[in-house]
Amino acid sequence: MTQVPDRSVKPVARRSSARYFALAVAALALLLVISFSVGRYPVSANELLRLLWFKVSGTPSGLPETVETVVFKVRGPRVLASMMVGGALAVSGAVYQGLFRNPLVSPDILGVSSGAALGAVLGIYFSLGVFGIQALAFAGGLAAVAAVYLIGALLRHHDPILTLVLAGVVIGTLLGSVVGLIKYLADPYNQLPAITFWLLGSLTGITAADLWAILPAIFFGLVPLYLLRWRMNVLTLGDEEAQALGVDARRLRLVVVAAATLMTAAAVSVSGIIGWIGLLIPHFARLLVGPDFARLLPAVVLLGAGYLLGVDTLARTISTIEVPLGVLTAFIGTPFFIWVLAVSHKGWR
Amino acid sequence: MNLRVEKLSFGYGRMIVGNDVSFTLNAGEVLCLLGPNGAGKTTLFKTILGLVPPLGGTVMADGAAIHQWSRQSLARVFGYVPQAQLGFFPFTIREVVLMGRTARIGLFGTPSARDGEIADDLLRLLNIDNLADRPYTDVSGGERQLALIARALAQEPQVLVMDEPTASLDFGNQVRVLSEIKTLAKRGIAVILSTHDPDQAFVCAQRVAILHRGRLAYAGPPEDVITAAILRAVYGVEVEIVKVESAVGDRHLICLPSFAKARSG
Repeated sequence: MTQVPDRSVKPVARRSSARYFALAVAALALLLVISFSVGRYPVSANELLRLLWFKVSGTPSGLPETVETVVFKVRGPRVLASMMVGGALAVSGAVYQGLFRNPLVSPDILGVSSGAALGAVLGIYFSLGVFGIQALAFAGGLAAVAAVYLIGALLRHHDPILTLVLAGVVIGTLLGSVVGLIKYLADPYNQLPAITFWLLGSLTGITAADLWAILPAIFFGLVPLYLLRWRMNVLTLGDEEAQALGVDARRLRLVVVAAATLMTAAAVSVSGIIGWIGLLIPHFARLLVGPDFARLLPAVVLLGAGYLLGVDTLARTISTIEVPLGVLTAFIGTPFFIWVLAVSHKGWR
Repeated sequence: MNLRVEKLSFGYGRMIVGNDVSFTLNAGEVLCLLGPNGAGKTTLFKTILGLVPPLGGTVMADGAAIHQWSRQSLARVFGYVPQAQLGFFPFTIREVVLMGRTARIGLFGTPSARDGEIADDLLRLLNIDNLADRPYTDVSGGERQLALIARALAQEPQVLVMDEPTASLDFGNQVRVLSEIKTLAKRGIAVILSTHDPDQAFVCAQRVAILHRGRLAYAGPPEDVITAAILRAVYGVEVEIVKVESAVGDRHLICLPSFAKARSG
C-alpha cells in the first residue's frame, strides 16, 4: 500500500483547468470574430468593434447602415443564438449523463426533443406562425418530460432511473409516430418542407426577439444546476450512496430534470432538433477537466457554445444553400466522437 | 449515541429477507455481524441506514425513531462503508473522500478549505494520501475500499456501518483497518461491521451477532457466540477454537477449520 504501482494512467489535468478556461474563452472570442467576418456580407473585426463602441458611447460609427443591420438584426442574433443553444444543449447533456450514470445519454433521453418536435409540427400544420410554433415546441418539450416523469413516479418499487429511461424511450417513440402521422397528412408543398426543415435544425431567420424569449428559460435552468453542482457530483454515485451521504436523491433528481428540460425545450423551440451536441461535448469536456460539475459545467457551456457557433458558421458559408444543422453536427460529430472514444482512457471520460 | 434496533423486519417489497431482528449498540462498542453468503447482512445494514424502508419494527437512535429524519440528519449520525463498487465517473480519490462531507455542506455549497484538510488527514490516516489525485475508477479494489472508509469517516459519524470493510484488502491493510476500528470505538463511535472471518470478531468486537435464516440466531460476546457448535450449525463446517499466545504476550482466539470433515458437509 505504501508503494503504489504506476499503472501509467494519463493524469487528468485538473490543476491547470484555469488555463483551459482562459484558452477556451479566447478561442470562443476568436471564433466569434471569424463568424462575423464570413458570409454573404462580411463584417471585419474593426467594423464590429466600432459598431459596438457606437452602441455603447453613442458616437456615430461612420459605417453604412447595412453593416449595422447585418450586425444587430441578422448575424448578431444568429451568432448569439448558436452560442446559447449550443451551451444549453451541452449542459443538459452533461447533467443527464451524470444523472443517469450513462455516457450514451443525450438531452433527448426523456423525450424533450420528440415533445418539442410534435409541438412544432402541430404549429406548422395549423399554420400558426413563428411565435405559435415556438411556443408549442417549448410546451411540447416540457409536457413530454412531465409525462415521462409522472410515469416514473407512478411506477415505484422499480429502479427509478431505469423506469425513467424506459418511459422516455417509449413516450419518445409514441410522439415520433404522431409526428410521422402529421407529416403524412401535411400539405406536401408548403407544410412538409417546413416540417422537414424544422426537424433538421436551423438558426436561419432567428431574431433578437427570439433570443429574449428563450433567455429567461435558459437562465433559470442554468442557475440551479450551477448552485447544485456539488450535490450532483454525489448523485452520480447512484441513489443509495448519495442518500447515505445525505443527499435527497429523489428530490434532487426532480430539480435537475426540471432545470435541464427547461433549457433544452427553450433551445430546441428556436433551433429545431440539433443532435450530437449534448452527447459529444460533455465527453470532450470531461476529458479536459474531469467529472466535477464545478468545472464541468463552465467547460461544457464554453465548448458547446463554441461548437455550435463554428458549425452554424459553416452551415451558412460552405454552400450557396444553407446546410441543415442537424446534418452538419452529425457529419462532424461522428468522427469526433470516435476520436474521443479512442483517446479517452476507459471509454467514458 | 445509543442505537436500538427493535423487532426489525427487512427485505424488498414482498420479499422478506429477515425478521424480528433486535439488538442495541452503545457508543464505543463494536458489533461484528457474521452470517453465510446471502443471509441478508447488506439488506439489514441498508434498512438500519434508512436506505431500504423497513417492513416492520423500528430503528432508534438515542431513543428517537429515525424514519422521520432527513437524509442530511441521518448522514451526520450514520457513516456508511458500502461494499466497494467500480466507480462510474473518474472522480479523484480525494474528491470521493470529500463527498463524505456533503451532509455538512450547505445545499448550494462546495467543500471548503477546512473540508479539504479533513479529507487530507483521512487520506493520510488510511495510508492512501499518495493516491489523492488518482481517479477512483483506476485504482485497485482494496484502494477503493480504503477510500470508502475515509469517505465514511469524513461524515464524522457517531455510528459507523461497515459492510465487509476488509473484503478486498491485503493482509497489511486488514490489520490496519481492524486496529483503526478499535481506535474509533475508543473515541466513542459505535461500529457495526459485517465480515466473513470470525477471527476478526475476536480481534475487534465486544459483541458478535450471527444472521442465519433471516434471524439474529446468536448474539453475545465473541467467546460465547463463536463456538465450534454454532459455527457448525451456521456454516456446516467443523471448526476448532484455539487459544494462542504470541511471544509478546498477546492472547488471541482463532478458528481452525478442519478440512478433512468439511468435505462431507
